[in-house]
Amino acid sequence: MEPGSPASRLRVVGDEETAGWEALYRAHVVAIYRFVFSRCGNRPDAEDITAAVFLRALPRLRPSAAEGEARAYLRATARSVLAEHWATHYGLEMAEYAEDLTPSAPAASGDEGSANRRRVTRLLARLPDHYRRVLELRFLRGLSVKETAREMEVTVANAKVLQWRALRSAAALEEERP
Amino acid sequence: MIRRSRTHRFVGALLRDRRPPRFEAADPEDAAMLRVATSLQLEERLRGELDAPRRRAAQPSRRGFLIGGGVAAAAAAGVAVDLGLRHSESDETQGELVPRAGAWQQVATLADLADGRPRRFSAGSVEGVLVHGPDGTVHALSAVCTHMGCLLQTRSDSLLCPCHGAAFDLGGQPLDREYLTTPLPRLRSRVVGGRVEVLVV
Repeated sequence: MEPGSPASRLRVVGDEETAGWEALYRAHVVAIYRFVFSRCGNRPDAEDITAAVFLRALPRLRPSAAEGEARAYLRATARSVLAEHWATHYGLEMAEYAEDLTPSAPAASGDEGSANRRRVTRLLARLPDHYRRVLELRFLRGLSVKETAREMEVTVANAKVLQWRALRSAAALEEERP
Repeated sequence: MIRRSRTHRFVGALLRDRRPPRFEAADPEDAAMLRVATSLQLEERLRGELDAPRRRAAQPSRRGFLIGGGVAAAAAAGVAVDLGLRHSESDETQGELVPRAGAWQQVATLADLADGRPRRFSAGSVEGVLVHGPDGTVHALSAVCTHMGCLLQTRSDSLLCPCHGAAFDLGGQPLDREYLTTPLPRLRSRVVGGRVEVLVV
């Protein structure tokens, strides 16, 4: 059977294999979902991309694969699905997602969240106070514009403008990074 | 400025946890802003909801993922897994609060509900609200706002959070999308001889 032919895609799947996939899915879905969320930024896309990652990766993974091996393969697949997402919908090359196909160091699985957190903290620390504050309230604490305006004692319109300028200057700082 | 308003809508959607609009981000400044806004969305925001034990596995959400080696294989395998994710669309699964060692406790009488307004009650560890439907049935919901945990106040046709203004309909579904609220959990309730009882602990 030619790989990729309709017949190969419709192959019969045995119960054992299915059970293996389900176990793989359960073991990895939360980590992959988190990984994807912080690279697309919203839940609906993160759910769809996570589903696409598993649909693409599972047939190529042996259910018996070691956990680290499976995680590395899933993450590599997630990077390429994410790169496609950005290229298809926004015409953007997200080189940092596409190129890193090497299995990451073991630390990557557990510590990635705190590494991201440190990166964001460093970025915010370089912003003027009110820019930092508006981004903290909106992005990190998840407040609405209205709530943010109240916290900062500015008008809603002001809060929106502040958020815009804060993002633009954060973007400029990120871009100038070597 | 078309360019600016598109980027603005993208960021707005991210922060409301909706799917952002698609567009060609031709301008490098735009592209940089999309990147930075996305990178500020830390997965920490998901903490709690993903770590929660998947007690709801028995009632898969409508957006449960389908997995397998292809659609046919997945369908044949019948593997649909509930991810138990929160998201801000209206077809969310509503949880049910069933205490492990609950007991039926009277919290009102049918006569108390005759005016059709929702009625708050406290019973043991549970803060709840009774809703008398137009069809005469009674159901009970948790009265704790799923945004930050304040106690909801009753209106004739909704439940309102005094802290930030989140609102829920009398079925427990969030009425606005401004806050990351999930539907209010339902409580088990029954009517016995004119007494309204809920299963609480």
